[in-house]
Amino acid sequence: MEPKELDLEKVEKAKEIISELEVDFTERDLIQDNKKPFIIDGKSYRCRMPSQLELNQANQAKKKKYMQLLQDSDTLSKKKLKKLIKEKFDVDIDQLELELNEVRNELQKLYLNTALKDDNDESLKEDEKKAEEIKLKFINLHATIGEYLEPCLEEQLRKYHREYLAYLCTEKHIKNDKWEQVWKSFEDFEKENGKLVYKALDSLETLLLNIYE
Amino acid sequence: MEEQIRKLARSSYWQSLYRNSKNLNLSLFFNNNNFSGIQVLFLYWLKIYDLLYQELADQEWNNLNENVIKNNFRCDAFLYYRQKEIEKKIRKNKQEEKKLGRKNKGNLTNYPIYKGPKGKGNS
Repeated sequence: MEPKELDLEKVEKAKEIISELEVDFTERDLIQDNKKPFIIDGKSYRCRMPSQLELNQANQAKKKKYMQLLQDSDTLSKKKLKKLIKEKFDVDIDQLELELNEVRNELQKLYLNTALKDDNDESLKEDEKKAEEIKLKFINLHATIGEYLEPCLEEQLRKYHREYLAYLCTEKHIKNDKWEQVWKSFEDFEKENGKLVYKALDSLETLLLNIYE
Repeated sequence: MEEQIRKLARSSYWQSLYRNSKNLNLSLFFNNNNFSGIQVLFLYWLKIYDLLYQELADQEWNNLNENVIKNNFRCDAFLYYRQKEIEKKIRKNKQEEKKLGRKNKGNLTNYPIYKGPKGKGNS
């Protein structure tokens, strides 16, 4: 019996299905549900999206924190911190932010150049490599600016807001479909110092992906 | 993570589900509200790839093909190029509308003819 000729279209389809299955299972779960489960020391936990009531609670807590920080003489706004950093370390954050825009423009120019090239153009791989370098430059610059500005009022509030949401939205598995909030109060959350807090914050950041900013 | 999300969003399974969800009222997620940032991002890419596949089928762009859609870098480049081209077209249309507007001002037949106050017997 002669071997059948391969149906190339079917082969391509099969390859596509296999490559979809190779996508990390946890990432497919993250897409289909608005919760992120994790395990620490053999116990199951999950972080879920906050409800409207919880968002309001977190916003109220953030406003109170804002008033506290305003009364603290050590608190500096982003603008004042930038000025202090320039005086003390001779680092111009505004200039770094302009550089960030220039890097963005560099990437956009590369995009316009690449978009007109056809599949056989040999410079496409080089363009892709250049784009990765530009993106890395952008990330590093962004991280540097972030590090300098971390102590400012705005960043402290953002961090506090995230922590408050993590306290409200992290649950531990009791049994079957029953889940219970891990921390009874924000003070309990603040006192805790361990893997659970870091994992809760990390999971919340993953779920939120900046949608409340 | 975004790479994986895009891979799923452009897959024939999810594209088919997305297109049919609109007509058949199918739910794409376990939750019907309170969508996570990841789900919002996934919906965004579902929509973008749906649009790109439609434009590919309509042959709207000479520089769009399957290889461009499947390569994240080339896809990003094409999306930026497409945005700029559309902005150019909108600006050009606005300029042409302005020119037509100026031309029509010189044409008296486009002005309504005043026939006097109503009920005063003017024809």
